[in-house]
Amino acid sequence: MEMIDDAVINIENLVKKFGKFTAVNNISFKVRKGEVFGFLGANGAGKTTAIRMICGLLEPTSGDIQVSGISVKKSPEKVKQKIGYMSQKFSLYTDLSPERNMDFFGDIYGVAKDEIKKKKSFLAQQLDVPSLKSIKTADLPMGFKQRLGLACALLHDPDIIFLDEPTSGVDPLGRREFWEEIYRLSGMDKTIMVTTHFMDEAEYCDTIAIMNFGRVIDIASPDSIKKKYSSANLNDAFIRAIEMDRKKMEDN
Amino acid sequence: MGLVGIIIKEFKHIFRDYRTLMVLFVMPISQMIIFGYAMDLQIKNINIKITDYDKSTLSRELSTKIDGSSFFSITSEDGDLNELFQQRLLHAVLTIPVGFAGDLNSRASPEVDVIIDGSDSTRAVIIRQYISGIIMEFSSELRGGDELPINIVPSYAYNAELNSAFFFVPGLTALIMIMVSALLTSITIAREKEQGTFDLIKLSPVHAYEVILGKVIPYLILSMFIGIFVIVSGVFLFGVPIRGSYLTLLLYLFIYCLTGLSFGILISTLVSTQQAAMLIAMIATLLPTLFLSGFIFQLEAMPKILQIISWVIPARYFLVIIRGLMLKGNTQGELLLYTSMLILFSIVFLGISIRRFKAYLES
Repeated sequence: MEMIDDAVINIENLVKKFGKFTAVNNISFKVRKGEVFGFLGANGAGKTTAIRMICGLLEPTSGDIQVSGISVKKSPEKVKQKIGYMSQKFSLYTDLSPERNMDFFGDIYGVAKDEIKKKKSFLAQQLDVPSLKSIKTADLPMGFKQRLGLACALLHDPDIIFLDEPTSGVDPLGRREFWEEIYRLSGMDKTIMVTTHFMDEAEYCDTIAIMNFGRVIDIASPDSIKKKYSSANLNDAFIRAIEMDRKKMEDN
Repeated sequence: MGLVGIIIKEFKHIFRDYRTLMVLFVMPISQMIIFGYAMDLQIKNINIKITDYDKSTLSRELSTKIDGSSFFSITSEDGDLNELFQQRLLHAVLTIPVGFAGDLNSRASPEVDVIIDGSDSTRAVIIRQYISGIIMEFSSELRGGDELPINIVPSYAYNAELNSAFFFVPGLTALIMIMVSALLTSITIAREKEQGTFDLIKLSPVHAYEVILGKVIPYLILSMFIGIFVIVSGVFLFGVPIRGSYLTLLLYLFIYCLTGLSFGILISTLVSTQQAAMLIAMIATLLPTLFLSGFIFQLEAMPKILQIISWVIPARYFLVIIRGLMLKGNTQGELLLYTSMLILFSIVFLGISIRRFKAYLES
């Protein structure tokens, strides 16, 4: 019962169909406060569709999504202040400076000016750059861009952060630094939902949900998953889980 | 809070992209110059062949008169008429029959025969007018002038010299401004959809009206600058007057730009790529404005159905406004009906857009 008490995300029978194609097929799960929850799956398994529905970018075909006890469908406006979102596709204004991007997103969330200033100098310090002003965002290395994207998603201090393949295209060192940041946030009691297809990243999660053809085929901690499929590493466990699922589908 | 932020950001976009900004100012000017030289309504160097069967003093005098006008040059090309027309060596043939001088002297009406290359009908009509003008002048001189029952001397009000710039500068302004303003807003929102930045705006607590006004206001200021630049160029390059009040012209230009920008916003709610936005904005503004606004073709001469369609072409109303203000010196009140139509268009376009955006942002 204690799991239900501190569940900040509650998904029930979530379905998304695009015409005849079912992208997300009836998934249900809960995410605890402060948890790092990872969606693991191949390309096209439905990870991105699921995360976009949960944060409110995509309307579900059916099912119920509750974020912090608020129904996303009924009052999307109330959920907006509580969540931050960042995606694999870099979606900031590349023609503007990083500073200008942060000013803009801080402003549309109604963040106070000195708060934005504080966050800007924090990011500059983290990235070890003297200024965020004189560069064009388009010219930044990928790792920096993603960190800037994350900083923009965090400006209004959301409780829940959605990260859709945040590290794709980032070099290994940049990825490690990004995950250190995720850990720092998790330590601040923020809930993080992240999609990935990197096994080493999945290891960092508290809970992972393995997705295949729009369904969640298993959901547990990385250690339990490894044990369940009696594999030494998550990579083997993942492949075994997918193979078993395929066999089950063929049998049916 | 959100509105000001969006406006500031939009201005930064505009000034960062100085290439596009330059195109926005250079394009109208080059269009105007091309139109200015291509659309001269006067035709010169018309090759005419005169076949004189009468060979009298009078018939030779008529030939000399035609030759002396600045429009015609008499050719002595011989050969098959059809071939001469085909090779464009000849534009008209005047045949003076036997008995021309005798008829003139005996006060009967002599007949001359004219063949004109009709493959370009506008040109043919103008050539015909030139020829009959010369012949009329010739016969009235001969008879002492007063004997022709009716002598029409047309004078063109508001455009005494039938200056073609008076015709195309207001029309081109109407065309350029609706096109540019619709393109500006439709592309900017489509770009945000394409780049994914609209996802972040969608997830933020900004209101639909803030997004729309935040886009319209900066581009309204920009298109006002473009509009003033276009009109001032027309005045200085081609000597078109502004006979009405400058302030009224500015005010009505403002409303017209607002109509175009609102239309662009409406397009952006329907498409998700910049390419689609550009294509729709171009097709929906360029062709109707060229053909159905009264810029080039007379609306009164069109089939009823096209006339009805023209009621929803914003340029149709602005053309009356800008011609009235530049050429006729109309007052604000005289053009109120046309302005109200533009305001109505803007309200409808913006209203639908806000509703659509609201549904989009809150889904």
